[in-house]
Amino acid sequence: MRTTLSVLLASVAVLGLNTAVHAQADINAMPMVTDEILANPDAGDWPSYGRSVMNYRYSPLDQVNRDNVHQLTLVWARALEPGNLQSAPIKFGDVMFIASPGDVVQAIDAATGQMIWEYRRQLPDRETLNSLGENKRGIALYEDMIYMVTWDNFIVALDAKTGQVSWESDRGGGADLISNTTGPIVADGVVVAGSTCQFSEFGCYVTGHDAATGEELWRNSFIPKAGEEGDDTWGDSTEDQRWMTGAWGQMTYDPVTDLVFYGSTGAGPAAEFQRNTVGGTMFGSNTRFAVKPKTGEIVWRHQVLPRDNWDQECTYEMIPADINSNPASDMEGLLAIGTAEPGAKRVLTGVPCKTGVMWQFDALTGEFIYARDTVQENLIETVDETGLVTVNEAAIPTEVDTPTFMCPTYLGGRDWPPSAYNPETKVMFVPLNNMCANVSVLDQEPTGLDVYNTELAYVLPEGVTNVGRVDAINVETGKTLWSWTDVTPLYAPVTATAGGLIFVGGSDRKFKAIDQDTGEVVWETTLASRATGHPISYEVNGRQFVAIPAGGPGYASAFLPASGTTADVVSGSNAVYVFALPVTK
Amino acid sequence: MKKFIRLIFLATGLGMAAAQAQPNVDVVPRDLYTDTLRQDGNSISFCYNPDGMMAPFERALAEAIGSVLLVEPQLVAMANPRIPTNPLDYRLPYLEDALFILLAEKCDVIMGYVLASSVPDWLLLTRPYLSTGNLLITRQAGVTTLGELPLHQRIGTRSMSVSDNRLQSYLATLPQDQRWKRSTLYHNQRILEQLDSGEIGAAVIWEPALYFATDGDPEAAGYHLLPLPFVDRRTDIGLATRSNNTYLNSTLGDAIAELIADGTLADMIDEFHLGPTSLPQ
Repeated sequence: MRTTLSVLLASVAVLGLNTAVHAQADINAMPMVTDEILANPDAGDWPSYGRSVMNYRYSPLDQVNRDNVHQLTLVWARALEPGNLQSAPIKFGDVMFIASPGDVVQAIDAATGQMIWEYRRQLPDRETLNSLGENKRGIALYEDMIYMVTWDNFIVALDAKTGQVSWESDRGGGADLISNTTGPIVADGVVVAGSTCQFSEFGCYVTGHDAATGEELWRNSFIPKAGEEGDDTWGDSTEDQRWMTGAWGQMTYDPVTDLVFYGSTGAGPAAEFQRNTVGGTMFGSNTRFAVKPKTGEIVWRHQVLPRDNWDQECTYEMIPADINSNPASDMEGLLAIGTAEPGAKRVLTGVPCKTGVMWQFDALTGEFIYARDTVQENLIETVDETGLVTVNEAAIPTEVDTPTFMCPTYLGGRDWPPSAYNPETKVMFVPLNNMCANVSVLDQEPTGLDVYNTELAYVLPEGVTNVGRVDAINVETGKTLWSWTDVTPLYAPVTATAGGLIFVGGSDRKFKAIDQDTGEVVWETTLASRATGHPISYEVNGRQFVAIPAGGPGYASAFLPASGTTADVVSGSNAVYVFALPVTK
Repeated sequence: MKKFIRLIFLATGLGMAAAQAQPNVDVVPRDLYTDTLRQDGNSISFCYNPDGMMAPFERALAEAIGSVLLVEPQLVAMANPRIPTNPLDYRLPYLEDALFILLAEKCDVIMGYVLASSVPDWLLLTRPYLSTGNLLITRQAGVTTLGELPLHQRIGTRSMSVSDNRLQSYLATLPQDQRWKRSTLYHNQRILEQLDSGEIGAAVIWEPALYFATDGDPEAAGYHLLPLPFVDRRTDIGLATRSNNTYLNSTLGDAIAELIADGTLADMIDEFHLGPTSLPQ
């Protein structure tokens, strides 16, 4: 891998010098971001993708609360680069850092929206790249550098105060459609990043790079090679016939256990009879991993969906938390409770797959605690007390042009939009979609690049009228506290605050606040285009702000006709919108 | 080349088509492309993949269609320097959103599109100018039917192809202990390579790929044709336009029909070694 220093790359770091004179925030006063800060940020900061590296997406700010949220007003907005927008801003000191499609990173005064600097990467033509890599969700901040994974699969480190490139490292394969969508995380001085091989003829990997130098320290792949462990679980396929499996969801770092948690995806084509793996569990696919950040050593692993025939991609964030684990036998959608003793423990929990199944493990050992459904799901037949999954044979396509009923769909019960977790109440807020489909494996050849070779006819689950959904689940008991639903699909991240609110956008352009206790919408406003970005909340000079990038289109489009929504969905005109309460004179 | 010339007021007709309602699409954000449809008067821009095996044939076909319609064909090579084109294949090295932008900005027509039910609603396909089949082949002279292939030898196919579907279905009808294993390979060049190396004993391969790779003579190249033990499914290939450009689409379809009727297309398929059965019936 190639590592070059900043002096070679001045041409690609464009400083917004003309705008610097208008900026109010003193970026040079920004202190170094330490491991301690990433683990326990100041209340007013949001220095990582999920605020802390544990990805709770929870702000302890409560200036904006149930009683006054109706007074929220737009303070500033700023246009972002065009493209498929799912950005996740971060904020430290008085500065917001945000990445946009096309690998543009900006430092912005978090109180006023004035730009401080801008980095604009020189990329090949967009039609030559993996389109998924356009979704520049996350960036990471550590010490005095901003880290990103570029559309063409480089790790780039920018000087956080100037936007100048400090180093970059080519992970290779950008021309073979390897990319990254959700961004890196910095764990104990190591930049850990996954990759997507959705359209490549091989599998992908996770890498660890030294944050200071850019040296690649380790690389973990997923698909077994000939003779390796699990080689015999891939059916009749040989190594050169195994594709796609990667890890593109958000990673989590737990400073307490010193473990990075990530998850892998399924494989292509979607149907096992087409990919030549009939009956194979596909070791390495749809698996949760706990690894040491310095070395990549795998401490434990657990496959949460073997034999994936439905593109269920178990790559989404799970979070570590100290709880009094006490799974209830009457929790809704219960699949299995493990043999772990109830009581105080540190768990890894969340909804890692499109299946919508919530899982919980002992964070340190991987011991299975419980699994439960959220949305209607017919892909899993059973989960045993060790967490071993047996899939539903009736949901596995076995021949072409014959519809097979599946719930949820390729677009998930959940997808990339992350959940939020309130550590005070032990409640997780999960964005979901109710939808099923009759999926047909096509007896025809795709013309462009295609990895599924299937066609889906969407249908609502029986008895269900609303597609979009947010569930509040007590992670200690596994019980659902409330479920908010709406006719329009919900493809939008959730953020929780100590003000008793969660903030979430949506395809219908509504940016809304939902009461954490009741699940009722207590405030909403309509943005110019789809509210698809990650909301964050932060404080500058004693004033709490709530920000959301919006533009879309996201991936909810396929759901819209089947949902019956009449929402005026529109994409484009990307911008970040920032709200706050009016200043009291 | 045989030509049948017919005067069509194409520019006028295309101008009318541009005024029709756009389909409700949300493939890429609206501010990522500029819709430049039909600003070039009496010409049609034919986009083709210059790295594909059918590129010479497609260039000739565009010229022939231009002659039939009395319009100026503008050949636009939609090269993709970073995404490799699979050798001996028809598949285009573009994702769907890239094709959408190409049709909005550069191409009236994208050549080499497969007629399939999964085509997005913003695309409209003409009648086919190729109708292609699949062939079962081996390099082993002593093997005259698939039944004579030793069971330990694998049968190669191109992953996700209709021929692989057919082979998979056929094998499923055989007793468990009488089934060959498949090797579902990434492209047709790899099929021939693995036949040559002996990694697979036989293969089902796209007919144009085999004939193009062997300059029209598979036997001379050492590939023996065996009878397919199942009913083949043909893959039809035509031209893609935006779905709102119905006039252009039907006009192009008429031109293809003329080229089939007067024998021009048959001669071209033969000249470019795209297989003896590839002329649409």
